Amino acid sequence: MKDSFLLRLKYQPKTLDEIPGREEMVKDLKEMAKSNDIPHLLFTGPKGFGKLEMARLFAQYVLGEGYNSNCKIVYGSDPLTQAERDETRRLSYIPTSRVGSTAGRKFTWPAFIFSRIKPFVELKPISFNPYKILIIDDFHLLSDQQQGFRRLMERYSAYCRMIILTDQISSIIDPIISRCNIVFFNQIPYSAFEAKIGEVAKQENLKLRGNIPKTLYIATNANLNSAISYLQVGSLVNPEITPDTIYQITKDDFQENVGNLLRNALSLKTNSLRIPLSNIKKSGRFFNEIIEIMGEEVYNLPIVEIKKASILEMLSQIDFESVDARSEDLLLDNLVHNLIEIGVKLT
Amino acid sequence: MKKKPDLPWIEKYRPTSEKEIKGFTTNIKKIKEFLANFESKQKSGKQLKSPEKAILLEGPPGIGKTTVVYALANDLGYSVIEMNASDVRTEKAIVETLQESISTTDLMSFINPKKEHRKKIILIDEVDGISGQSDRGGLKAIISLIKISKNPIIMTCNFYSTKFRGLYDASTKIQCRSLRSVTIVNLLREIATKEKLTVNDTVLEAIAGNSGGDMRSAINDLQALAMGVFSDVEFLDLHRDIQEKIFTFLQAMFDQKTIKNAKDILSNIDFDYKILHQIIHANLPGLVTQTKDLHQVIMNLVDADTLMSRIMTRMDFSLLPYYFDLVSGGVILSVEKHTSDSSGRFKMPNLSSLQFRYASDATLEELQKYFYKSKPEIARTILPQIGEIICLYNDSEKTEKLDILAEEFGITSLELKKYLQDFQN
Ligand SMILES: Nc1ncnc2c1ncn2[C@@H]1O[C@H](COP(=O)(O)OP(=O)(O)OP(=O)(O)O)[C@@H](O)[C@H]1O
Ligand SMILES: [Mg+2]
Repeated sequence: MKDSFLLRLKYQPKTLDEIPGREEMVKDLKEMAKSNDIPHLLFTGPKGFGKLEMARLFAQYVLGEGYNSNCKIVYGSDPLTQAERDETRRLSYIPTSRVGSTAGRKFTWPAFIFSRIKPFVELKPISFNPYKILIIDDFHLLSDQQQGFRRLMERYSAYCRMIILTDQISSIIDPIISRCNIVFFNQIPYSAFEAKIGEVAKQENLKLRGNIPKTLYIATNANLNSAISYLQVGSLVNPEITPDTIYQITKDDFQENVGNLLRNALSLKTNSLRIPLSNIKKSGRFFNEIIEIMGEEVYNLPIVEIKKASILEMLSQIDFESVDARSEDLLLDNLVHNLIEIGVKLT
Repeated sequence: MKKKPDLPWIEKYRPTSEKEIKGFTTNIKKIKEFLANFESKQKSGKQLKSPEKAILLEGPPGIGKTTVVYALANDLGYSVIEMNASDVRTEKAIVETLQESISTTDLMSFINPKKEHRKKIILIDEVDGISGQSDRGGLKAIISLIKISKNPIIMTCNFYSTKFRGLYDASTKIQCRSLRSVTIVNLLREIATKEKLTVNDTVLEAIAGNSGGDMRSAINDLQALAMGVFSDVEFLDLHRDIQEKIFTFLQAMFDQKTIKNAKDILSNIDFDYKILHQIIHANLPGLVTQTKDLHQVIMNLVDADTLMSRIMTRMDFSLLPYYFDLVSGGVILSVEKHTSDSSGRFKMPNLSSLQFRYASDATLEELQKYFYKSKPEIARTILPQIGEIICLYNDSEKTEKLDILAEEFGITSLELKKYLQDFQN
């Protein structure tokens, strides 16, 4: 196969053994695979720690040539497509020609399970694999549809195993946790990170000056994929990559903008909201990230502690309510108005 | 072309004859050959083998599979006996529906008495639906029906599935490809002319490109555009009268004093209700001026947004009335005074950051195979990264790199460019 033009893809591990810094975990998983009867697995750990990479390369290891037909990855955060919605709606109706009490009735199916999960788990594995593997990313986002998996995990376990991925294990319901073996993901050790960066630099003839691996390790929170991508960007910005180059390209004024939004709204400077607002929108961050950063900024406000508490309470409330919402513009607007309301009380 | 009012355009403009079908040429040829072969062998009393008695049209949605059967039947003087897999899915039902008509050459006269001696085509549409979960027997029934049939059978399905293995042996498969962009643009232009709609070609091309070769969705998008429903509006310039219509409607709603009246106004809308709350939100500044009121309205709209998202994810349309209550009554009651003299211009909600952008996106799906991230994440993190890299090359190299990337991911450079546009400027 031709090497990718994007370094992050070119240096993506292709097998379990190529994953840097996770030798122990790989050893354990391989051991597990020997029994030829893996349990349902739950991988948990912060974003960017390589859970999905581990899951799919493990599936590839277990299924071998059957990987393409017997493994499926679904993403909890992928919105339903129109086709999936239509399909669910179409099949939600039990025709009157059917006999029994359900005839002619409309049913509400959990759309996600119905359109993405069932068609896969219901089919027996193709070729020589004894079972299929279903990988579900961001499982916590399925919220109450998680319940639907209880039956699925049992009923089809004879020929379908699931690997569930999440960065919020507290949002996974107990019956699911009880059906899985849990694997925790930690940051990969610096030595492994450094070695990989060194290898890429050497292969690509990149000139690094200063302690680039360390800078990247911190800037990306030990995420090799992003780090390698930054290397590529860096090499185009500057033939000789220095820590400064890295700072320059990873610099993020998101936090600053969120802070400005918070302060200006609270002090009722409504005319100075437009710039931070439009910068925040442009940053393309998710709403919950905005809330999270804003929460950190609240601590730094020059107001008495009890008032900080009331702002934090408001933020948690909004965060909670936003789980199901879709229009981020609307949420953001709502947030600003709530801040202004508090601002009015403060003065 | 026969026209009836009030039909959705996809039905209104459904071809009724071969010459109205766009593209699809090789498939049509194969189907005609199949029918001719069937007829001549039957006439000369030759034995037909299973694969000669049935064909399976396999291909993505909205490219003319179902349409072609009716159009050809119409042209060649067949009547169609259709079995739709989404209604009847059990073995017993299939047998009951089809057996009689299938084993004799002239029956079903009760359906179409005048044409009782016409030749027949049996259409089993959406075979995919038949092999659903508990109805394994359905497929078996079809296979045995092919064996005894005295009429040509045409089946359609969307995806290859191992469940169909038996069917593949018993029939001839025709692989139908998605339609080309130019083909789609041609039809869209024709329809636009008939509908007296002035849209320029870039918009039509955008719609066609966006449809991923699905004529049905392209026609739907065009109609949506004409009605003020926005599927992927960023680059579609909305028609001026529609903008005004929506704005007038919003003002009328704000004039109402009771929830009931406001809701009644809503029931008259003919644009996409799914984003009603977003349209209202985008236009609030021109309608509501007091900050206090504004906050109340926004809170109601957030609730409406949440509700709509639940409706869409769970397909629970029983919640829909509450949504309308919120966006009508909930909104007007929160506002003490609204400005009606506003010379305000209609504003489009910013949908680009929303699920709509990803929802039907074949390109993101393609990229997913390489990056292993959810579609929103690819749109938010991966594409900007690629954009950054491309932009660091000088102008002469940019296009080349873009092509290399597009080829690597199996998408067209144009498509990729559409996504990277934000970074170009
Ligand atoms: N090749 C075509 N030429 C003209 N119009 C077309 C063509 N293909 C599709 N259409 C339009 O799209 C509509 C849907 O097409 P059709 O029902 O044939 O799709 P299909 O291929 O059967 O899809 P599905 O598998 O989803 O049923 C038609 O009513 C027609 O308006
Ligand atoms: Mg069809």
